[in-house]
Amino acid sequence: MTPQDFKNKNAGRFDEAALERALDKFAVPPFDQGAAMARVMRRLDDKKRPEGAASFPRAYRWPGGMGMAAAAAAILFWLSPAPGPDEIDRFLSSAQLAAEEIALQEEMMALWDDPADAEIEHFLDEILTEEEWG
Amino acid sequence: MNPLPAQAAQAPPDEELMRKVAAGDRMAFHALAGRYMKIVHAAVYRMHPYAGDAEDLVQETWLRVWSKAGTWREDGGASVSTWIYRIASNLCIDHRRRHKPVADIDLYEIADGGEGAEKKMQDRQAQKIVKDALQSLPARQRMALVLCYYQGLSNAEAAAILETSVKGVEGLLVRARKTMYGRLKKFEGVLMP
Repeated sequence: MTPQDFKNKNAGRFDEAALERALDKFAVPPFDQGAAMARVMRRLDDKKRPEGAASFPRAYRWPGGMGMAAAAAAILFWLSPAPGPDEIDRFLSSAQLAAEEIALQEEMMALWDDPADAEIEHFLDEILTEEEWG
Repeated sequence: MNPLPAQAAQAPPDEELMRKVAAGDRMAFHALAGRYMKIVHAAVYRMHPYAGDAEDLVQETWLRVWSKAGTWREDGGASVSTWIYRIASNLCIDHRRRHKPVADIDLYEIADGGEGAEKKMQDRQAQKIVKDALQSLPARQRMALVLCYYQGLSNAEAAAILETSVKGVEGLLVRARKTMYGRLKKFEGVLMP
């Protein structure tokens, strides 16, 4: 459907031109792009490198924070002076908890990026569309 | 999407800049942000017209572009601009879910007398009426209207951003326009002279 077909289909339903005149009253305030750009560039310094631009080959990396947590646990384990069996158990379980927590956080972040609500809205839109357009 | 004026013949295409951004090239990021920052701001402001929040959302959009650049796939279907719009749109929806909008103070400022003060007041009043009507729409209808009407994107581009079909976008637009017309008609003396 072309934009003109779309207009024709809606012609007579309401005064399209009047609506567009009204919509045009909503202007965007001036935007200081230079200042905004400077703020973004400053904040880049606090950010990690982009994903995929890692400093060592992907093949040697473990998935996400799990790898980091396990590596840290291994180093600390070997540096600690002759721990007893209880101490080793405690240490391993706390390392495991930390790794699980990081994995959970990553899972939550993934859910946040792809909210189920949006899918439901999308689904409803499709149903309503069918009805409206016959 | 139509090429922007800044994207002249010699300028590197978006895809090339994006590949460099994914590799951590700050100059390429600066060039890409320079190309799209203003239109992203316009879109974000109309989706969420609260000045401070809109600027924060624009910043957050670009920080996400930087940190997620490696996830953009040239062969994945979405153009760079569509991908950027999608990030901005999702951030606006998320932000709206988590924060209740607060009144935008400058719209309530009393005009300072003098010549043109009355006209200025009328313009502000009209702006506020349209802004409020737009904000009262369901999120996806509002976004479809912003992308297709204000940003001038095609229905297909809006469909790619909203991750729906072209028919889905057409339905959203029909409902959005109908609702907007119903709400704005009451103010036709101010808005539709």
